[in-house]
Amino acid sequence: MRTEIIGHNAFQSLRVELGAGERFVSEAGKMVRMSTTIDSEVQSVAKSGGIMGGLKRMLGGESFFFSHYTARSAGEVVLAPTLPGNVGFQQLDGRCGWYCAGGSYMASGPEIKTEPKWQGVKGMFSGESLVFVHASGIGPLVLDAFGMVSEEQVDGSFTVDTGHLVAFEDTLQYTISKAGGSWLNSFLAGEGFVIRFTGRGKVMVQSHNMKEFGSVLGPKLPPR
Amino acid sequence: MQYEINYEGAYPALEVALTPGETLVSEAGAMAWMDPSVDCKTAARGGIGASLTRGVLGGESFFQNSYSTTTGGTVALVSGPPGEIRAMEMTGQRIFLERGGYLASGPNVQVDAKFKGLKGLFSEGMFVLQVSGSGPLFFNSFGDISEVQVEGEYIVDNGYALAWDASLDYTISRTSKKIRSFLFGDQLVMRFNGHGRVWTQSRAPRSMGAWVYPYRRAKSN
Repeated sequence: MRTEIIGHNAFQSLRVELGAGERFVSEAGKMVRMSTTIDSEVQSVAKSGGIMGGLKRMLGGESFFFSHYTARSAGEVVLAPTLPGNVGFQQLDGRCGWYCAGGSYMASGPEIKTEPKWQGVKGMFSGESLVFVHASGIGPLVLDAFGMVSEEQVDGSFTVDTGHLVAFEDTLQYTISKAGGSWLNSFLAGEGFVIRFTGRGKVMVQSHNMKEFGSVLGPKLPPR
Repeated sequence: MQYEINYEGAYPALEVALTPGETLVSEAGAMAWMDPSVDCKTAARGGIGASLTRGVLGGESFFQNSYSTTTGGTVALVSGPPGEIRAMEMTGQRIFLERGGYLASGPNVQVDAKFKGLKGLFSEGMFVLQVSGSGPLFFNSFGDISEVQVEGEYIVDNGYALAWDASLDYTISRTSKKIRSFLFGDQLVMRFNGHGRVWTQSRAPRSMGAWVYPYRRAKSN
């Protein structure tokens, strides 16, 4: 298996070359193009995590379904995110797992296990999805992003607006809280909520916030 | 015809330097800036019949603009979505362009709407644009354009297919034969067959439209 990020900064996509018998998994509906030597099958998450797992993923802004790709003989699959921007990429070595925030899971190698993790009460106030998808194992993990992706090495503490978080290593501790000042200040400033990380590990952030963009476009459309 | 595709990246512009006697035809609304020495004529090009099929059926504008000059001047055209602009020299070959992919062309390039047949029911539209003739053709995408050389068979999600050589046949199908896949979020794809090129775009307007849908305001009563 060979993975490659192709395209300009603003419109990256992921190209995966598979050898005979090799497999790859993505969120359903992400396929742009592929060889006819590759079989694709949609499966509900029920197979890996049960119905509850599937429901949790949906609450997390993820699709309920996965596409499983299997190569009968060598071929390629190209996958793309919905919005303009980079594709986030991590090669997992089994040392630690990653939490994917806010619907950012896009695709992964066959040995990566993904499970939804309910964020409980601290997620409920965040305005961010209540569920993170935890990915662990060995192999590539691919993430959807909006805008440019940047990776921060945290040693100590680090704060990220929830709308700009893509993923982070599970070695980090985190709390969800308001950006600063009083609750009223936070509300009026429109800063919303932030995630405060402590410990050591990597955090992947995105330059743009999907909700901000949506709220720019939404009012231009006919009301629902 | 002298042209440059400038500002490479997500927001390109096509700048064409016209000399007296040259004409550039474009999709209505594509002009961004031009010298005052360039004249623009709006017409239902090819007659009302051809415009109707191209406009109403092909998903392109009913009208096209023709740019010409008596002294020389530059006209700049841009596409609707951010993405890429490609130039292709037509030399008698035929290509098919999906709705909205057409940007501009030389005066001897013909652009007609072509009925896809029943398979159009399941894809992006009932009609595609058929481009033929000779001269430059400019087409645009949402996202980057990839050119795929097909030898045999290749699959493209129909939201991402932009253009293809007329030498290729295709059928519309699902990615998987299994009923379960059909019921749960399977994609409709174009299965190309033969020898020729397919151009794909790296983002799909339909997917982004679906993404923005929940951000609409609630209707006030």
